[in-house]
Amino acid sequence: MVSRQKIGLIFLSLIFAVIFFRLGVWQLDKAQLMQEIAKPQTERPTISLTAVAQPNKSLDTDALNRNVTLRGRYIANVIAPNQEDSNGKVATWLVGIFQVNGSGKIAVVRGVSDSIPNPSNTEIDVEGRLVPSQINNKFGEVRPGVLSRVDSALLLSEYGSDFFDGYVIARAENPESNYVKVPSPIPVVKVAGFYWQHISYVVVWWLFALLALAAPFIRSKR
Amino acid sequence: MRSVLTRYRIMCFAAGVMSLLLWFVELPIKYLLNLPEIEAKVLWIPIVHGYVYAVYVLATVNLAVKAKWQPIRIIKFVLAGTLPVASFITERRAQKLAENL
Repeated sequence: MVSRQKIGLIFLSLIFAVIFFRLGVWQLDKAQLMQEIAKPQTERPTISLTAVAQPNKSLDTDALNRNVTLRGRYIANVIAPNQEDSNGKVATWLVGIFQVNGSGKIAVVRGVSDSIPNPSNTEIDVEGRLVPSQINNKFGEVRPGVLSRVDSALLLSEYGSDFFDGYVIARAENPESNYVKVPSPIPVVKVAGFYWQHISYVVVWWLFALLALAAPFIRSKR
Repeated sequence: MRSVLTRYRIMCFAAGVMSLLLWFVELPIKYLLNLPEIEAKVLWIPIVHGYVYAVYVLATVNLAVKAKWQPIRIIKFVLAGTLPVASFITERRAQKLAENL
């Protein structure tokens, strides 16, 4: 005859086992999400900037990290010191404020340069990668013509509204500007370590679930 | 019984060292210092701690079943593996309990 106390203990163990099992599933989902994010992204076809983005609107996933083309002219140039490229090389970037024909303005990283050239009135075709605005300042001191980060929000007061979100890292300009271009490969998210961390939590939670199930049957000394 | 206790003591040492590294190296770097480059270098700590702790739990249960411990004591000893110094204390305690069997 099984006592009521034993039945209560088995019921409690089952509740805990289910909770621990669900916590393991939650961690497994997180691990799979990490794995999904870490998958290498494929390069999508190059597209016109105005086809995937609009001024004064946030970039959506279709536009993010996409190769885009834009035609227009530079209305100003500024520099952004202490910038680190994808290879870890730190340099001062030349950033052009680009007026897209029949649309808004966007910051374009033209290349590496310590000097600020005057913009010319020539129409230019630009091809490059559209990336989100930078969040962190690269240095503390702010001076006219010098950007602490490449972010359209910093350009609004001086160059007016109608800015596209994000900025373009130019791969080519026509006519060519001869600046050393900043590399802009598809961003790679390094999360492999986090994947195995979550899997270890899955192991621990499911081990707890097994222990909870076994607990009522473990014989102990009184 | 002796080999079970030895396995448990080894895992107490491993879990204790990994907990010390987790609490006093990895967590402060991750949440207090904002140093992404160093954070990447200590990423192995929570991963290794996770797997070491899983083996520690198995070693604890193995010892608990052999010594016929009560569930409350098993829970206390299992949780000791998550705290920096607690597993070193339970290692001593387990040795005394085994001697009194």
